[in-house]
Amino acid sequence: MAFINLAKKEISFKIVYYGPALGGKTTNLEQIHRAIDAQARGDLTIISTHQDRTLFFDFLPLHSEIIRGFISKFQLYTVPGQPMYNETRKLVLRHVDGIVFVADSQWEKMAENADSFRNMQENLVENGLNLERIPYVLQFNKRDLPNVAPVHYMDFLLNRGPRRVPVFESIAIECRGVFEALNMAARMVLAAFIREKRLPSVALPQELCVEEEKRG
Amino acid sequence: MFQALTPEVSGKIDGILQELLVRAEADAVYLCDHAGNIIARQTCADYSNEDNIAALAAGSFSATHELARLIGQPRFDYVFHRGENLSVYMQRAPSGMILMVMFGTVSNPGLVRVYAEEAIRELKPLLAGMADEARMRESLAGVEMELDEHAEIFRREGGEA
Repeated sequence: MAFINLAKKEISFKIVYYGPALGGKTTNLEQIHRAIDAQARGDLTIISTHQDRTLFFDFLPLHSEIIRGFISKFQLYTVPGQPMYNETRKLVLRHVDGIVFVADSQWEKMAENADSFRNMQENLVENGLNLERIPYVLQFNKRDLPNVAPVHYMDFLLNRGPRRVPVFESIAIECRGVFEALNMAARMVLAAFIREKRLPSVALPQELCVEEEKRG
Repeated sequence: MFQALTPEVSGKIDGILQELLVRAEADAVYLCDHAGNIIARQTCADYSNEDNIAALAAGSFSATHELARLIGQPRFDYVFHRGENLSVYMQRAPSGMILMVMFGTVSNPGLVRVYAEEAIRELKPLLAGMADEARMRESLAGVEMELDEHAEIFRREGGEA
């Protein structure tokens, strides 16, 4: 749920990185934290187990001046991917404005990808949300590994809802495809916010108008 | 969905938090929502990682709420973390908000709790107004926002998007 502070001229959005365990969600945030201008980010908080597996969530605050006259704050969260932490995933999804679903491209992970995607849909419903109304993108990660499934197969598996969403191939550990997915998710979140707020003075960039048409 | 805070309401909330800060002899007072957004703050010291603090507070409070549910309690109203030099008190506030007070050894949890509850009573009508969607839309009607079409939202250091 976006929050607008008119006194401080700030707008806050929440983007959640969701996906199966060990798929690269935390790596996405680490790479963004490492590569982005330090002026545009806060500290990276990682709450992990002794085995470096995400226990609660990771958190990275970013800010931009994409809306003139306002600071747009994007709070990036990851969820813990392991099945036993479902209650935590539900909590992190609360009030989400946009999602980057990070799928693991290895063949043997396809069932886990599908399970995680289904789990995300269920957890959104439990939070009173509907994936069809939330901006999200798919990121097919680990494309550098030898045993990856073809993109069209993963697209068939995960991108078969009533609307097709943008897909990004990535090698998160090398920061490839990471900013592309983040920027698209952020733009879709902004477009949805502007549409919902019905701002008469805002002209959307052409690429987002097209994206919105696809959303129907 | 979205929530909005107008300058007028923001000023009133700041006044309540400032009074709490002084009376409870606290170091910092934050009003956050359950998504981890800082709605208002009053502090004696600068904390550069306030967004992280708010996100963790919101996460911790939500986890505590879930714990209450699992053991058959409707909710836990407050959470207290005691530190060596600085402690944190968090209390549920109306309209899905959390009031967080950070205080040192000059104050104590009892004092903080009394003044926090008083502050929450004063905040209640203001927060109820923020949850009124019709009123929010009205307050946003004259606000102009323009998206910078040509700017990349986030860029890698060195310029590559």
